Amino acid sequence: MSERDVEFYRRIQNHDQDALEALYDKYERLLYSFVFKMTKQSELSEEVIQEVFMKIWHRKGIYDESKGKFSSWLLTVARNTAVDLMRKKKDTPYSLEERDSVHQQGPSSEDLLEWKEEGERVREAVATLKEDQQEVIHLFYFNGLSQQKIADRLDIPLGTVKGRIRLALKHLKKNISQHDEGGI
Amino acid sequence: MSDQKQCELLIDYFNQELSESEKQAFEAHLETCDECKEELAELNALNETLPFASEPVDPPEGMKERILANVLAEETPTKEETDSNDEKVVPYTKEPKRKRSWILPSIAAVLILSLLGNAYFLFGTVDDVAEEDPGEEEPIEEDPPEEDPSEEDPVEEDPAEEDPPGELTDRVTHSVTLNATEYMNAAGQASILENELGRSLLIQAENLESLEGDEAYQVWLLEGEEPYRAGTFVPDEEGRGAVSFSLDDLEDVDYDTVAITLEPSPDNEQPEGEILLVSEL
Repeated sequence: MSERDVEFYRRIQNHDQDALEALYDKYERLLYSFVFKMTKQSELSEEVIQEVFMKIWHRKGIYDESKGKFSSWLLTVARNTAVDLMRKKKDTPYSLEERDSVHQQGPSSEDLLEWKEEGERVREAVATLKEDQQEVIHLFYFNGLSQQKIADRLDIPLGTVKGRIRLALKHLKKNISQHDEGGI
Repeated sequence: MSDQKQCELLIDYFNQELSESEKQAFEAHLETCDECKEELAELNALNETLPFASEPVDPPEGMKERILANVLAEETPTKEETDSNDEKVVPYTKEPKRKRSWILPSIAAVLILSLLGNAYFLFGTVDDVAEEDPGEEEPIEEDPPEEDPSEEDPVEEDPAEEDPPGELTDRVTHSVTLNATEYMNAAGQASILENELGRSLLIQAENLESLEGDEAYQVWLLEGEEPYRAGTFVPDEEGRGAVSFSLDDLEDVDYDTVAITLEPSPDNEQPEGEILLVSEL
């Protein structure tokens, strides 16, 4: 799977439009869902995804195979672009919708296998976190806020934000590995 | 800055909140701080898992076509772009540069309407704002101030230098994408058009929720906190709405923002509803 991505990527570097479309088709829904979760705005999400593909097409974003999976790189570019555009628009949404939608249906069979498999365990791992830990992860990771803004939102001292994030991520990691041991 | 202090900036570095100089200082610190290096690697690794927690959401219709067209369009400059310094009239109907959404192709249609009747409202409600303050007849401005056409203007246009006699030529002097707020997942565009008779504001929106009773979508131009009515409309069955509004009466207003609200009645003089779409002008 990853090999095909790399193949697409190489062809795109040579300005192969079919490869661009193939890569787009493969990741459109995942990217859109991810970016929409961050921005909560469809127009802005589209702008972000367009920017991501601009970067790929115009070789402004360079993927280095030795640094990991292509999908992780693509999602990293998408997140960075979204964080950047959200800050420029100065309109960061604040929503914990994910908490209520945890029980929603996961990706369908047409979606990426990776999303289906990974998604289930990650969603469960997030869902079993305490509410305030879910919140801090959302503000930090999905909304990409500064420590100061997170402190303001949660009404906690600035100096404690990093510790909170660290703790929440530690629990998240633990939950994910527990799920791996318990399941499958 | 002490190392201890630098370590505190990791989160803001990861979220790209540091200024260029702060960033450079942090990256220098990163070279020497194994703890930060390790933590940063852990944060980066989140991109391998957390995005997959996203619940599937359907992308907007036509997103693929728009994005691919835009990405590929910038690949090689088109003839139109290379010629753009030439003095020539680019009529609206002639394939504008493809940018976003359904909105552009229909501008031409709206223009025809606005030319024919100076129709203020395309769909639905009649607004009476234009009659509120007839004031004195303003002389028609022959030479409206030039605006920078390069300013995030999605439509390529050149000033119409020679008009065929008896015909008005509208051109876009400014165009912005409206941003949806948390209240409604709508989308839209605001353009300021100018022709020999004056300027008008053209609003087009989609993905609008349907209305009940007397409700109407109301456009406002804001000068700071002060709202000025700038058109009312109701959406069609597919959630699309548009309105063209003459800016003649607002010539003295130095508006900086355009916003759309949902109002309980089309006659509201002051906004009551939440802002659904907004952009600076």
